[in-house]
Amino acid sequence: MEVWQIFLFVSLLFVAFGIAWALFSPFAFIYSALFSRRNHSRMLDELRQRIQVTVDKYGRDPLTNKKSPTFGEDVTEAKYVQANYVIGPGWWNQFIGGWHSFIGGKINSYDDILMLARQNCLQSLREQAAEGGYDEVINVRLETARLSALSNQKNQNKFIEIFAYGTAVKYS
Amino acid sequence: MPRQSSRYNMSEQQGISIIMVNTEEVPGKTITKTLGVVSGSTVRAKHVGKDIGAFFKNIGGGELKAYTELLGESRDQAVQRMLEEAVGRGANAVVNVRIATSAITPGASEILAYGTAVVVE
Repeated sequence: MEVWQIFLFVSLLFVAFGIAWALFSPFAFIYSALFSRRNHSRMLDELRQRIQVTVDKYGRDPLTNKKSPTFGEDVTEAKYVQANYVIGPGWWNQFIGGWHSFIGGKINSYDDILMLARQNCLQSLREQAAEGGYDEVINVRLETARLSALSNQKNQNKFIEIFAYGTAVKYS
Repeated sequence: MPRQSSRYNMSEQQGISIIMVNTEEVPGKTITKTLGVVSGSTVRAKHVGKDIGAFFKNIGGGELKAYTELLGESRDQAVQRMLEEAVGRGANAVVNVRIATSAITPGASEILAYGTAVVVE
């Protein structure tokens, strides 16, 4: 095979990718615009049910971010628990977010995403505490970080990472 | 569903039991000696296939499992390194553990875990 043939092959490959991308991206954007919000609220509803189950089991919310047990109970056992969750906001949310940074104002669609990720992390802490038979999780802390994958200045993926950690304790 | 961290296998594998809490004191025990700040960090990146997968998942939005897994693993490792340092100093507990994340380069992130190594009774 000669050099010009290889060159031709590679450039054809690039053109094919370009055409595929040009056809694919508008559909992907429409899909995102139509379905992403609905999917997120469905996920949030499912999560709320799971939270309700755990809270009912305890009779109260076992999480607190106080540094010591609320009523000064004696602690017999302590264990570090953690959970993390990485969420992609979706193309539609990114578009809306960009638009709002131009005109200003409240961005409702991002609230759902962040709520979903945070509540998922907290629910995971509750479930870990319930599994180990712990009574409460104290000193819960939440952290947020932004990840950027394959990013350059123009097209940044705004992946959001939420991380929660705390100390699960058993009362005597 | 978020990744649930496995138990720290250090104590199981090496027969060392070390207590790790993020409160200022170990509940129910008293600190007799402090041995200074110990820390552990790790930088990790996922291979490009997972990056592309995450890119497509991000169209509709939702959890990006590959990254959740990646960061969970790196946190476990950072904590592991911190515990190793604490054991090296002769501690039997690490208190007031804090964890910080920063994205240093595209596609990779650094996790830092730090705490105070102490001897408790």
